[in-house]
Amino acid sequence: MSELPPAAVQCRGVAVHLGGRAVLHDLDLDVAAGRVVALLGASGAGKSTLLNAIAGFIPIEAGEIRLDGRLVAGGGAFVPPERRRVGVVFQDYALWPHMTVHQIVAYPLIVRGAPRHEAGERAEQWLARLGLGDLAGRRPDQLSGGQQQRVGLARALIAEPRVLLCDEPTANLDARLRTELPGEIRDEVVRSGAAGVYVTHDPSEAFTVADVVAVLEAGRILQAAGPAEVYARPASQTVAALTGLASFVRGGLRPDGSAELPGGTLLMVRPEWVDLAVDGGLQARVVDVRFTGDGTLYRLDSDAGCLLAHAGGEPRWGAGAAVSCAVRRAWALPQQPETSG
Amino acid sequence: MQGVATAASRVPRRAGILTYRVPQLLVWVVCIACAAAVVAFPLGRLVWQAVDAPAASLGGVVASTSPLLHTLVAVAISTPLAVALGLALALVCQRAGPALRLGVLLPLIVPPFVSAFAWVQAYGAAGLTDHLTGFVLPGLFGPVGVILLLAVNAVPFPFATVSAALLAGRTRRLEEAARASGADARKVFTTVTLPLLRPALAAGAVLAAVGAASDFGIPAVVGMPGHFSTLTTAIYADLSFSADRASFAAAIAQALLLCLLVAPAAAALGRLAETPAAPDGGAVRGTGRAGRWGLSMAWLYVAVVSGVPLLATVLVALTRAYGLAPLPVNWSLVHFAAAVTGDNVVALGHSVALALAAAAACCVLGGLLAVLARRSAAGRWLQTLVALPFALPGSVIAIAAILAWNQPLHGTLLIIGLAYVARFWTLAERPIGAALGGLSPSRLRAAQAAGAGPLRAWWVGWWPALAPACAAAGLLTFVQAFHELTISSLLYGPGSTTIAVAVLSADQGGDVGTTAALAVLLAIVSLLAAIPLVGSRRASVWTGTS
Repeated sequence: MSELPPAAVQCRGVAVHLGGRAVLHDLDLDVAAGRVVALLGASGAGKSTLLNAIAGFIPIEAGEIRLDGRLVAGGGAFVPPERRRVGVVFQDYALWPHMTVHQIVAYPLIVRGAPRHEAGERAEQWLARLGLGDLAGRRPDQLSGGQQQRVGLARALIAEPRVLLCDEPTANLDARLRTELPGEIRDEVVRSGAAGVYVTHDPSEAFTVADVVAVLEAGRILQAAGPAEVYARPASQTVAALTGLASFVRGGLRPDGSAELPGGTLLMVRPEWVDLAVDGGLQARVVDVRFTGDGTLYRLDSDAGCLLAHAGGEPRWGAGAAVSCAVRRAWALPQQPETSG
Repeated sequence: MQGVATAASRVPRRAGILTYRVPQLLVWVVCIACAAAVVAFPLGRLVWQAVDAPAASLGGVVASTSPLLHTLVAVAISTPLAVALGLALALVCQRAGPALRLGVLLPLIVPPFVSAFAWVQAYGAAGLTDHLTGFVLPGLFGPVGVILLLAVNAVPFPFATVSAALLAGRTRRLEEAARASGADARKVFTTVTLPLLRPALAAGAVLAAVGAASDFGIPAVVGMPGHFSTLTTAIYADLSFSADRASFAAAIAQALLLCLLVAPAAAALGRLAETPAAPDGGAVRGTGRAGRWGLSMAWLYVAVVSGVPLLATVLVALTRAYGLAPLPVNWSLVHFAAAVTGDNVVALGHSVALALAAAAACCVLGGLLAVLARRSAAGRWLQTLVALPFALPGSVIAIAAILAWNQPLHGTLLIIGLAYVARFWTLAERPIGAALGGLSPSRLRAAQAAGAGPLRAWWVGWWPALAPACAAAGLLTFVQAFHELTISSLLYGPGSTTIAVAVLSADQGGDVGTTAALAVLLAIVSLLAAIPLVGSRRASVWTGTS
């Protein structure tokens, strides 16, 4: 493991109140330069609020925010957004309807006083780089959603921000772009050496884009760790539910990581950790069958509880069929007073 | 499967009661007949008059160019003033409560001649500020007063259009994007906010200019005493103070000039004033755009423009005799008693009757026209024709009415009523049309699928959503007709005085106390009727000229 570069975004004890209601509580977050942190959570969890606080669109109630070591909010200081060296990609693109694509992308350089021809050249380079070279003269309403969001990305990156903030950039895009754009954003962040903060409610998008996934609920970070860690070893039942499909059963954990059902410990099991048609396995009954394209998802009813199982191929059992199953892998959830899921 | 298919195929045929041939034909006949009789015929007469005797018309104009010049100057100065004030107030009031918005919109609600009279009571010689501090607004009777009053009276138009744009658009998000791109607050305003608001500002400016050019009440109250005559007051003078053919010809010429002045603007409005989409209801973030300071300035503006003048008028109405100090010891209700007796009560009765009749007729005709306009291009064509009398100055409509109907109807309530229907038809059609546009046929189909017949489906599915719009249309027409001055001042006869004409006569007769009492009553009625309208989200119903 190489030594981590100094954090470009540091949030310490950040609290935000909106309309008299506490939206973020005592929140800590670090994002290193060249790394992407995904803020994952359901709507209303406070993801976008945190992003807006980092950008400087809203004031913070307590705590402090540092960008590149510089105090930008908290402790009586407040640096306005235009002097924080951030780039922001918005969910609804927020492209100015009265400008052409070229003008929009050059805008951040122009308002910072760059010579017009130089700004224009750089804008052309960025447009070409993101595959928008032919669209420079168009206005936003003549572009598709994906093109608009690429323009938004070019605008956010052209002034070489230290921090790139993305607020659900794919929420209004079709399925193909939802898989494509996060990768592009990640590549740009890595290349530019900026710190990336990426808000999403889609776990698979968070895993693709981020080095660290921070799971938020009710204004607090429940867990912040690498994607594989968050997926396989969630800190709580809530984190497990927010990061993908999971079933929660009572069983015993064997030394090799597999589980014996039923038992006394609360275990989390991802659907693909369950093997079906295993000799001497736990007897279960198929309750529901869903074909997912890349396989089949079964909902099973067993003595240990309800279990989701994902197997490759087309459906082999129908509802009501008896099938034996084994849990190849399981995760014992840390004991804490929590009832959810 | 077969049952489903039959039901589906039946839906289009029964989608609305108007798909039945006979009622639909009837609606067409009623609308076309009324539009022809009330709108097309008088306007046609006016145009024919212009074509028939262009030389005479021109002669009249050349004879006296000063009203035209005065109108042009007044519009040219008051419009930019109104736009600047309206923009500033809209930005400040973006997150302000309904009370402040109502305060800014007050000049639109209180009739202009009442506002002008109230300013005289507040800032004129022997007015309230003269009493208290010795301050008298210099030049109140004359160009300064006319221009200032026209400007503050027109402020609600740009205020309403800009507010609507701020509410509907994603202005805030677009400004945040500019901030994040490195633009400071001032740069954001000039490069993003202003360009985004340009269509709204243009629409507001056009409305303000048309309103200023067409207004009669303000130049009548503060212009005529200072010998500053505009086209509208010149028409009034030509028709009221002399009865010869030459002055009638001059009046027609002035009316045509006014038409020429206003028509291009009114035409541009059709393209500009397209109401922006409904508010997206997105999360409101942060505090207001302007802090405490901006809000206090806005309240100060409301106090100076409407608060102090209205207070002064109330005090004058309450004070026993003009010139006494407006203190409780001198208070009495004699002026209010005078205001509701004799000729005044007759005039009040006329105005109520006219307003009720106009509101009823306009609601029915407006509803029918709204249905037609949604169904066919011919309907939309009819809609445009009917919108003309509202866009044109009231003086022009009155002249057209005289040309069309003076022979049998001279000086009757009927001629005033007909002119009101022509003028306010579109005002009633707009809210109903907007409500109809927002209705989805699925509401009707759901009721039909549940087993309701066509009439019942309409009653259950659509009427609950249309009722508030019809109420708004009725209220709006009632208020406008109730305090209408321009048309009635040119059309009234001995037996058909309206309350607005009574106020103007009392003012010109120097009876300040009674005028104040009548003005207070008019303002109260207008306010009471307006509060539910301003409270509703559709502030755009107010963005018409008055």
